[in-house]
Amino acid sequence: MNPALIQLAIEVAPQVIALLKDAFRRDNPDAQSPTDTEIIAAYALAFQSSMARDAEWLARHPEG
Amino acid sequence: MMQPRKLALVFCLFFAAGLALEQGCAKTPPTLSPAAAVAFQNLQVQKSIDTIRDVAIAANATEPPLISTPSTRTIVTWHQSALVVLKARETGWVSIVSTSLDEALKHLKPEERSTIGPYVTLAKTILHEATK
Repeated sequence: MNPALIQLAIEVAPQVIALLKDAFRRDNPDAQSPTDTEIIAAYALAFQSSMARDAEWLARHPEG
Repeated sequence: MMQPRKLALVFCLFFAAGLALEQGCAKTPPTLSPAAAVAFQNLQVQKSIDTIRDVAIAANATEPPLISTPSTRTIVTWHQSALVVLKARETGWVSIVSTSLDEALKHLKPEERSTIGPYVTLAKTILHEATK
Protein backbone atom coordinates (compact mmCIF):
# COMPACT_ATOMS: atom_id res chain seq x y z
CA MET A 1 0.00 0.00 0.00
CA ASN A 2 1.18 3.51 -0.82
CA PRO A 3 2.79 4.99 2.35
CA ALA A 4 1.15 8.34 1.58
CA LEU A 5 -2.28 6.64 1.63
CA ILE A 6 -1.50 5.13 5.04
CA GLN A 7 -0.33 8.56 6.25
CA LEU A 8 -3.59 10.11 5.01
CA ALA A 9 -5.72 7.38 6.61
CA ILE A 10 -3.96 7.85 9.96
CA GLU A 11 -4.29 11.62 9.78
CA VAL A 12 -8.00 11.73 8.92
CA ALA A 13 -9.10 8.69 10.94
CA PRO A 14 -10.04 10.66 14.12
CA GLN A 15 -12.24 13.03 12.10
CA VAL A 16 -13.91 10.21 10.17
CA ILE A 17 -14.53 8.26 13.41
CA ALA A 18 -16.01 11.39 15.03
CA LEU A 19 -18.25 11.90 12.00
CA LEU A 20 -19.45 8.28 12.15
CA LYS A 21 -19.99 8.42 15.93
CA ASP A 22 -22.06 11.55 15.43
CA ALA A 23 -24.04 9.89 12.65
CA PHE A 24 -24.73 6.79 14.75
CA ARG A 25 -25.49 8.74 17.91
CA ARG A 26 -28.71 7.58 19.48
CA ASP A 27 -31.00 9.72 21.58
CA ASN A 28 -30.20 9.15 25.22
CA PRO A 29 -33.29 9.85 27.33
CA ASP A 30 -31.09 10.71 30.32
CA ALA A 31 -28.99 13.20 28.39
CA GLN A 32 -29.88 16.85 28.69
CA SER A 33 -30.99 18.28 25.33
CA PRO A 34 -28.98 21.23 24.08
CA THR A 35 -30.78 24.56 24.21
CA ASP A 36 -31.69 26.63 21.13
CA THR A 37 -29.04 29.17 22.07
CA GLU A 38 -26.33 26.52 22.38
CA ILE A 39 -27.15 24.95 19.02
CA ILE A 40 -27.33 28.28 17.18
CA ALA A 41 -24.07 29.46 18.77
CA ALA A 42 -22.33 26.15 17.96
CA TYR A 43 -23.33 26.41 14.30
CA ALA A 44 -22.28 30.06 14.05
CA LEU A 45 -18.88 29.21 15.53
CA ALA A 46 -18.42 26.14 13.29
CA PHE A 47 -19.35 28.20 10.21
CA GLN A 48 -16.91 30.98 11.02
CA SER A 49 -14.01 28.69 11.87
CA SER A 50 -14.54 26.53 8.80
CA MET A 51 -14.66 29.56 6.48
CA ALA A 52 -11.52 30.86 8.18
CA ARG A 53 -9.72 27.55 7.53
CA ASP A 54 -10.62 27.76 3.82
CA ALA A 55 -9.44 31.37 3.61
CA GLU A 56 -6.22 30.56 5.44
CA TRP A 57 -5.40 27.61 3.14
CA LEU A 58 -6.19 29.63 0.01
CA ALA A 59 -4.00 32.50 1.24
CA ARG A 60 -1.09 30.09 1.76
CA HIS A 61 -1.58 28.56 -1.71
CA PRO A 62 -2.23 31.46 -4.08
CA GLU A 63 -3.22 30.59 -7.64
CA GLY A 64 -0.50 30.70 -10.29
CA MET B 1 -5.90 -3.43 -10.16
CA MET B 2 -6.61 -2.22 -6.62
CA GLN B 3 -4.40 -3.57 -3.85
CA PRO B 4 -6.19 -5.78 -1.28
CA ARG B 5 -5.52 -3.42 1.65
CA LYS B 6 -6.77 -0.41 -0.26
CA LEU B 7 -9.80 -2.42 -1.34
CA ALA B 8 -10.42 -3.33 2.31
CA LEU B 9 -10.24 0.35 3.34
CA VAL B 10 -12.67 1.34 0.60
CA PHE B 11 -14.98 -1.54 1.55
CA CYS B 12 -14.98 -0.49 5.23
CA LEU B 13 -15.87 3.10 4.36
CA PHE B 14 -18.65 2.05 2.01
CA PHE B 15 -19.94 -0.40 4.63
CA ALA B 16 -19.99 2.38 7.23
CA ALA B 17 -21.78 4.69 4.78
CA GLY B 18 -24.34 1.98 4.05
CA LEU B 19 -24.86 1.34 7.75
CA ALA B 20 -25.30 5.07 8.38
CA LEU B 21 -27.92 5.14 5.63
CA GLU B 22 -29.68 2.11 7.12
CA GLN B 23 -29.59 3.36 10.71
CA GLY B 24 -30.29 6.98 9.95
CA CYS B 25 -28.38 9.97 11.24
CA ALA B 26 -28.76 11.69 14.56
CA LYS B 27 -32.27 13.07 14.66
CA THR B 28 -33.04 16.70 15.35
CA PRO B 29 -34.15 17.04 19.01
CA PRO B 30 -37.93 17.65 18.97
CA THR B 31 -37.70 20.34 21.65
CA LEU B 32 -35.78 22.77 19.43
CA SER B 33 -37.32 25.87 17.86
CA PRO B 34 -37.48 25.91 14.02
CA ALA B 35 -34.39 28.16 13.83
CA ALA B 36 -32.39 25.93 16.18
CA ALA B 37 -33.55 22.79 14.31
CA VAL B 38 -32.17 24.26 11.08
CA ALA B 39 -28.90 25.14 12.86
CA PHE B 40 -28.71 21.56 14.20
CA GLN B 41 -29.14 20.07 10.72
CA ASN B 42 -26.70 22.58 9.21
CA LEU B 43 -24.12 21.59 11.80
CA GLN B 44 -24.51 17.90 10.87
CA VAL B 45 -24.17 18.62 7.15
CA GLN B 46 -21.29 21.02 7.65
CA LYS B 47 -19.31 18.38 9.54
CA SER B 48 -19.69 16.02 6.58
CA ILE B 49 -18.54 18.55 3.98
CA ASP B 50 -15.76 19.80 6.26
CA THR B 51 -14.45 16.22 6.19
CA ILE B 52 -14.11 16.32 2.40
CA ARG B 53 -12.17 19.60 2.58
CA ASP B 54 -10.00 18.34 5.46
CA VAL B 55 -9.20 15.07 3.68
CA ALA B 56 -8.24 17.00 0.53
CA ILE B 57 -5.93 19.30 2.53
CA ALA B 58 -4.40 16.32 4.38
CA ALA B 59 -3.92 14.45 1.08
CA ASN B 60 -2.19 17.54 -0.36
CA ALA B 61 0.18 17.60 2.62
CA THR B 62 1.38 13.98 2.27
CA GLU B 63 4.80 13.24 0.78
CA PRO B 64 4.39 12.82 -2.15
CA PRO B 65 1.05 14.67 -2.32
CA LEU B 66 -1.89 12.36 -3.05
CA ILE B 67 -3.87 15.36 -4.31
CA SER B 68 -2.20 18.22 -6.18
CA THR B 69 -2.40 21.81 -4.98
CA PRO B 70 -4.64 22.94 -7.93
CA SER B 71 -7.03 20.04 -7.23
CA THR B 72 -7.04 20.84 -3.49
CA ARG B 73 -7.77 24.47 -4.37
CA THR B 74 -10.79 23.26 -6.41
CA ILE B 75 -12.10 21.34 -3.38
CA VAL B 76 -11.44 24.18 -0.91
CA THR B 77 -13.15 26.70 -3.21
CA TRP B 78 -16.12 24.33 -3.64
CA HIS B 79 -16.28 23.93 0.12
CA GLN B 80 -16.42 27.70 0.68
CA SER B 81 -19.35 27.99 -1.74
CA ALA B 82 -21.08 24.94 -0.26
CA LEU B 83 -20.98 26.48 3.23
CA VAL B 84 -22.63 29.65 1.91
CA VAL B 85 -25.29 27.62 0.05
CA LEU B 86 -25.92 25.55 3.19
CA LYS B 87 -26.31 28.65 5.35
CA ALA B 88 -28.69 30.34 2.88
CA ARG B 89 -30.80 27.14 2.52
CA GLU B 90 -32.58 28.27 -0.62
CA THR B 91 -34.82 25.83 -2.52
CA GLY B 92 -32.86 22.88 -3.92
CA TRP B 93 -29.79 23.50 -1.80
CA VAL B 94 -29.11 19.80 -1.16
CA SER B 95 -29.03 19.15 -4.90
CA ILE B 96 -26.87 22.25 -5.49
CA VAL B 97 -24.29 21.11 -2.91
CA SER B 98 -24.27 17.54 -4.24
CA THR B 99 -24.12 18.50 -7.95
CA SER B 100 -21.47 21.16 -7.44
CA LEU B 101 -19.36 18.57 -5.60
CA ASP B 102 -19.66 16.20 -8.58
CA GLU B 103 -18.60 19.05 -10.88
CA ALA B 104 -15.60 19.88 -8.68
CA LEU B 105 -14.54 16.22 -8.65
CA LYS B 106 -14.47 16.20 -12.47
CA HIS B 107 -11.45 18.55 -12.26
CA LEU B 108 -9.48 15.97 -10.26
CA LYS B 109 -7.28 13.26 -11.79
CA PRO B 110 -8.76 9.73 -11.59
CA GLU B 111 -6.29 8.66 -8.88
CA GLU B 112 -7.13 11.79 -6.86
CA ARG B 113 -10.83 11.01 -7.20
CA SER B 114 -10.24 7.46 -5.98
CA THR B 115 -8.30 8.78 -2.96
CA ILE B 116 -11.11 11.11 -1.90
CA GLY B 117 -14.00 8.98 -3.24
CA PRO B 118 -14.85 6.99 -0.08
CA TYR B 119 -14.97 10.19 2.01
CA VAL B 120 -17.21 11.83 -0.60
CA THR B 121 -19.59 8.85 -0.47
CA LEU B 122 -19.70 9.02 3.31
CA ALA B 123 -20.32 12.77 3.33
CA LYS B 124 -23.04 12.54 0.66
CA THR B 125 -24.81 9.83 2.67
CA ILE B 126 -24.80 12.01 5.76
CA LEU B 127 -25.82 15.09 3.71
CA HIS B 128 -28.93 13.34 2.42
CA GLU B 129 -29.80 11.60 5.70
CA ALA B 130 -29.35 14.64 7.92
CA THR B 131 -31.89 16.62 5.94
CA LYS B 132 -34.63 13.94 5.92
